[in-house]
Amino acid sequence: MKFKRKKEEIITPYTIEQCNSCNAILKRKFKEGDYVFKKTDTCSSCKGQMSIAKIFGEVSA
Amino acid sequence: MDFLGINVDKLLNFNDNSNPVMLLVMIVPIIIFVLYGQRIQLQVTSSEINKSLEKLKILKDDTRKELLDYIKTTIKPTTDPSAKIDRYLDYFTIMPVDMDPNGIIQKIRHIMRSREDYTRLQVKTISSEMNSMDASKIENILEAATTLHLLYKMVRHLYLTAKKQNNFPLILPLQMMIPFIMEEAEALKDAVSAFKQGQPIGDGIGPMIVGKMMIGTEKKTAAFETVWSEKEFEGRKLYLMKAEGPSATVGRPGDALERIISENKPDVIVMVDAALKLEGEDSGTVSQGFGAAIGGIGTDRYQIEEVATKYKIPIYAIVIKQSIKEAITLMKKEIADSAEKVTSQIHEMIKDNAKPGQSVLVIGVGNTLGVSQ
Repeated sequence: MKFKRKKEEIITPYTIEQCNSCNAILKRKFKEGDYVFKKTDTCSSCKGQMSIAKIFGEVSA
Repeated sequence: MDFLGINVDKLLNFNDNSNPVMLLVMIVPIIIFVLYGQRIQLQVTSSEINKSLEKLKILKDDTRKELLDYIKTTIKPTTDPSAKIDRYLDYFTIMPVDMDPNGIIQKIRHIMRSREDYTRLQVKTISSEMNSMDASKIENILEAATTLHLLYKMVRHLYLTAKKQNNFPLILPLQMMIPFIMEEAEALKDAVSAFKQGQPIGDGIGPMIVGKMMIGTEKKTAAFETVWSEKEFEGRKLYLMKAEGPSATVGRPGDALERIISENKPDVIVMVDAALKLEGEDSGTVSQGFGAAIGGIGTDRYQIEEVATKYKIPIYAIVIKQSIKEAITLMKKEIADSAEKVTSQIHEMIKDNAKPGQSVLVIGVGNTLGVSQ
């Protein structure tokens, strides 16, 4: 019986930005300098303050 | 030959016409295995361990190279830091004598703090223009490189000793341990990438949850690299505490808790931390329990238990399950997504165990790299 070699997973880091007023969510690739709860741009829909809610890694397809 | 009614000659098909060469072909391997079986097994096992040892060497060398490259490109020191880093990789820590265990915790804490302070100082001497964030990242990468260096040296020592003395039993514990050692080594190697880029790691889930609860509050210093703030929640007063982010630090939760309790006397302590999952458990699973949820060498846990016992404050724990690799590498989505669930469980725990007018100390335990407050 031959065991299949486990494929190496490629994990891509993502940043989730959330608007503090309308809770709109923006998912983008992680940029260096990002950290959780960092205030970023203004919300494109309500002009509220966006901040980073999460940073995580997802396995690329 | 008739033994217990079984005719062995018939069974093995021996008769006067049997080929003696075939007989030898059957018997000689048995004799070889009886006489040299252990040596053959030693050769097979040692060749497997040798492959792992070579891989461990690559991981160790790569981590060292990554650390030096990171220092050279980010910090741009005026002198080559290689010699200083190589010297640090060989540093050792002598644990205190435990024949008389009385007071050993204070001794261990003193030795570990001295080592931490010295590392911090050594890292800062690489360049005077280094900020605290970069310094904390380098300290963590250095810790990973030092652990890999030590693992490599220990495995090599056991492997070479067993080979030199042809000692098969000596190689058996190493053969059993090598998959765990390799898993940890690969996790340490992968952790370097997250440290370099300042990304939150799985262990940072506790500080991330408490950090979110701290948003909009005034943060005060509780101890070295540890912050706390106050907040109201449904008539209860909350004292929130975590390591100061987004630097790569775990802070000093023991000292901070001692200070907060001496000043504010909370009625309940809730600790949120990452915990190692058992094989078969899903990452990001949330569990509740009792006692101080904090890892490390044990000095902080001892301090927290001592103070809580002195003031008779119950300690409740909420843990987020993950593997050793997930705990020290970039936070996985499943773990990050558990934050909302844990927050609601903290609120429920507070309402169940503290009456309105009482106060609760909530501690987010773990490395707060990439997580502010």
